[in-house]
Amino acid sequence: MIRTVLSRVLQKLLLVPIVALASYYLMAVLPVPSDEDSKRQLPAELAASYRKDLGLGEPLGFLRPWTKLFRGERLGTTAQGVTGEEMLQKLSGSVAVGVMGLVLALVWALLLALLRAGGRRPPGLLGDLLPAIAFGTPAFIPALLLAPSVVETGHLLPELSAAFVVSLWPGVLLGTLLTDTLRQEVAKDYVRTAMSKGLSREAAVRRHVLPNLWPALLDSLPPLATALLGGSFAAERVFGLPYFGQLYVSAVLQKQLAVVVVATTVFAALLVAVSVAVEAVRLVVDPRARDRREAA
Amino acid sequence: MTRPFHLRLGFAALCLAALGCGPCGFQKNPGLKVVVPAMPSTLDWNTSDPTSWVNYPVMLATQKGLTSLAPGTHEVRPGLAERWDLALTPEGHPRYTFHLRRDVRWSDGTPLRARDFVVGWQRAAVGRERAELSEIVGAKEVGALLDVGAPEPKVREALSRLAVRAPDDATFEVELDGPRSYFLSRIANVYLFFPAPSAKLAGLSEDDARALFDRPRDGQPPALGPFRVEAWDRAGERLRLARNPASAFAPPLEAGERPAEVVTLLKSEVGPALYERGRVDFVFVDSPAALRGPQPADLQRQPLLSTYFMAFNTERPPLDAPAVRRALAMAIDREALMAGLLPAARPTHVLLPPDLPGAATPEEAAQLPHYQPEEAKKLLAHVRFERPLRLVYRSSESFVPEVAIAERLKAQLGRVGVPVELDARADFSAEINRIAADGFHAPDLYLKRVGADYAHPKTFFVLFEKGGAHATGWEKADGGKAIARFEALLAEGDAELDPAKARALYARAQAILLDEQAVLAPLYHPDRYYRARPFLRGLTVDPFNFLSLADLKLGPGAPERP
Amino acid sequence: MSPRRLAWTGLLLLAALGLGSFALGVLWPTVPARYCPLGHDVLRPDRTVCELSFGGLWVSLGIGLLAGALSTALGLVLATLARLLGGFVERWILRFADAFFSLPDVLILMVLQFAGQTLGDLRPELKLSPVPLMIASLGLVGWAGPTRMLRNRLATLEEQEFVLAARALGGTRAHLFRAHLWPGLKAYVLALFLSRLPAAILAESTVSFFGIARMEPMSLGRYLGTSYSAILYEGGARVVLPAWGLLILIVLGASLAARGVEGASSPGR
Repeated sequence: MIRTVLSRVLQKLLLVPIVALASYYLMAVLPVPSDEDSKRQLPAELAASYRKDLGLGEPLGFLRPWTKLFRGERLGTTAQGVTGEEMLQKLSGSVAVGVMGLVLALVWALLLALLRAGGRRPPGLLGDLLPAIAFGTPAFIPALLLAPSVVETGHLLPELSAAFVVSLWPGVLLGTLLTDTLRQEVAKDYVRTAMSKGLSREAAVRRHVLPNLWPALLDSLPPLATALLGGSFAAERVFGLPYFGQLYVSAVLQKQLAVVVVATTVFAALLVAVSVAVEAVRLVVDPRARDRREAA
Repeated sequence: MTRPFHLRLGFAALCLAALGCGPCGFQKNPGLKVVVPAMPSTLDWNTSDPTSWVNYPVMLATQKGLTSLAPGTHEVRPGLAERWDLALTPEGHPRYTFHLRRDVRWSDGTPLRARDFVVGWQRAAVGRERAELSEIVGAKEVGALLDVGAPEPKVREALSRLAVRAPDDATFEVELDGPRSYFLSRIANVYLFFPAPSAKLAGLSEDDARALFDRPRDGQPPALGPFRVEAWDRAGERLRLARNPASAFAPPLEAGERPAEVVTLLKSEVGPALYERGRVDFVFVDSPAALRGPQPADLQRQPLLSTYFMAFNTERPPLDAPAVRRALAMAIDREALMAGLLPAARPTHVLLPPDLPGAATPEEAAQLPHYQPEEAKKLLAHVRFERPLRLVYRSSESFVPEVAIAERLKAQLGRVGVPVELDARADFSAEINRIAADGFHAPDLYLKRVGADYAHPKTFFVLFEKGGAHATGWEKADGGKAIARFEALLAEGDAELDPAKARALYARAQAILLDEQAVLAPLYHPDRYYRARPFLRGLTVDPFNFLSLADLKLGPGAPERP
Repeated sequence: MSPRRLAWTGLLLLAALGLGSFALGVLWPTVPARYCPLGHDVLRPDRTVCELSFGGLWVSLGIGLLAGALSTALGLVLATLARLLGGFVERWILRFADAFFSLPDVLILMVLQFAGQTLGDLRPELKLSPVPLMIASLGLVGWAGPTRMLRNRLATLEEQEFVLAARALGGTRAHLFRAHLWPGLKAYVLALFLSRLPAAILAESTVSFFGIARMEPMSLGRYLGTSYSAILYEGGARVVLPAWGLLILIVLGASLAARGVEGASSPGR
């Protein structure tokens, strides 16, 4: 079992170096002029920062941004670059907002699933409208509607609002997926058995069905984290949160290539961490997973 | 750093694992909150940056120049220098000798010395806005060497010959290449001329020196003005200024007034909404959406000494013929261009705003290209445009309604048979300076605003001098003779003591720019709108578009913040 | 509602929006310019809200459809390749797809747009104009999901008895695919393609919000992404809400159609 688990974890961890290399080479392929004639293509400071940070043309050049980071040096230009410390600080903020968003998304998802699966009548067109509204709303619109009330109020309100706004879309998405799973579970024999033994429908759902939703929930956590991350860029900008999403956007706009490479890899690492954590939790929570391992 | 970075990394990872959120919700007393449209691009005032207008609020609050300008009259008054003398060297160069005040200290306690100016001006001469120093003897040579990418020892040697000297700690001398009537008023506010903390910079590499300015911490960089920069959060787009108690320039307080301890400059998507809800104390109202609705009672308007213009790439056909460029300038109906965009607008076809001392008279202005559609159509009838002209403008929102103007320009030029394609760029400065594959500047047309830093025509013309950031290629026009005549006229005007004669010379220089060579087509003179709480005293937006925090005081009614 | 009816409702909605937008945006542009009840746009006072939002809808729809087609096609090719070659190749294709899938759309899109624009600036011969660049970026962003899902679907289909029978009777791989697998796959491909559409338009809108994308002609996504600030001011709602509403309608149409097509095609019905 340990070996299977380890191999799955290692497979997931592979993502990080893949992304690191891919993003590095994508940036390196951009022609960074090194000859005199094209000196005016880029501001001198920016060109110098590319040469220093990206190690272009060197065999192990892709390691350069990481060694610089590890030594505590700054990546990018003096005015717009970042150090590893700053990145970590901003990352912790983003992660905190992300966790709040994750919890909220799970809450919306469960509520939506219970509401929709609980009702006897199929919802019809109206039931399609709610997901359409959620999917068709770019994150910055609800953020803008909410922002004037919470920006600059402190007390973690901007962060909570950002988490709320970012969790809507993934929560609804997850809710629609869970609805199907919930409906399938409710239709199964053991529920009918439980009800025929005198349990009310609600109690049956609560005691027998919900615990069986765990695998579906866990399966959906990594894509959920991805969706939360995607929405966080716009939310952080609108709510004025100085965290990792903002750092990434300004690095792209200011053409700080090394920062873009490192930040992209950090995102990938975050998502891998979520994935690995989900595997660990699944082992604990889902007896079928454990059995599957042992059988394999 | 006291501990090695990887230990810190481990510790931070632990914090991350515990989901501790360092900056979450934690805002040290932000003090007064001022919403600015853009964060500074750099805090290194000598090296600077082409988008320098964004840096002024911070620089004027934290540093000071040799001279200062009286509010309203813009007369030159003492600043860091208590008096100065002017003499002529045997070669005929004016030499200014500034006698510095002896009671001025940097915020970290070191006294201000003349050497600070030498170091600062030398850094500026190799910085990104070095054209502003071109009249100092020796500066042009340094600039020429940098332009061709000469090796560092040569540049350093040329720099040592720059005519800035500190004979003793309280005397600073500078030699100019010719009489310049505007020089004293210019060094008051243009922050390139502010002194650098030479004691701190001694022995630092260029990178470390820039880092001293751009990464504020532990009281660095030192300040001379009433505030110093305490923290700059680039991602969060906030900059924190703290009161500098060691400053010799604290604003005088009247009864009931107190100084501001902390000022936070921030950029926000929802600035005006925050002001409405009382959460910030000052906001620029720049968005055309905000200005179109009902106007609030405390909205203030400041007409600026500034011009928004369309510049031509004079090198690439078919715009390489001045007649064609002039025709385009005559094809633009400025009134229609600005109609309905702003509450009040001042369309123009001249570069120097009419209220600038030294601006052209109405008779002279009438000679310059203005809206003459028939003439324009006639001139353009013989011109073939094989491809659309690329018009580049800034994509970020500013107080100029650039998107609307660009689209209207496209429509107007289209009506006279000139195809235009629009290109909004976030990297505007880099794009207009970029050399395209055919060897010319990348855009065909671009939209830009120039604002006065002091009340003299030179501040508008410096952009178009050799080495200026005009990115039009006009220094090559007519084999370089046009710009030589232009600069000769400017030099004559700067040396002329009679203001009427000087004005006539500047008018002729403007005519070369706008009529003979048609390097640019001015469009309108922008205004600035803002809202400020009544308890803010001494916070002004002046015609130079400087948000001045240097005289900021809190009057009665200011809230007590913890 | 039966899956067929769902599918047709969705497709008709999309077609109506797309054709109507094209008609009013390209064929008869003076109509929205003159008769728009929502008035003029705030950033561009010479054009009406209808012109910009509804008139730009077909551009976004077109980009979304082409990008969706590109991702689905890429996904189909890779999935088929994976199943054909099997073993090592299949595992690595799937791993790569998983890796890609786990990164957010917006992130990859920003990087691709940034790379494409910088490349176009520095090497004009390689320059892509904004619309193809956006289609290429969106297509490259979305291939991972379809690859995974099509590969799984193919695997399921291959285990069906009729496929085993065909193989036992000596059918070549090409024949198997064309005659037995593709019919079962067709509708699924269509459903996937339709489900990529909303994601593509939303991603385009978000990237415009950050000022990273340059889109000419004006598309709905870019309009929403650049005029969002009007919502903060009085009278701004009339600028932003219609564009938002149109986007929701597109999403509704696409998701109904996708669900309907998938429902009508799933094996076992």
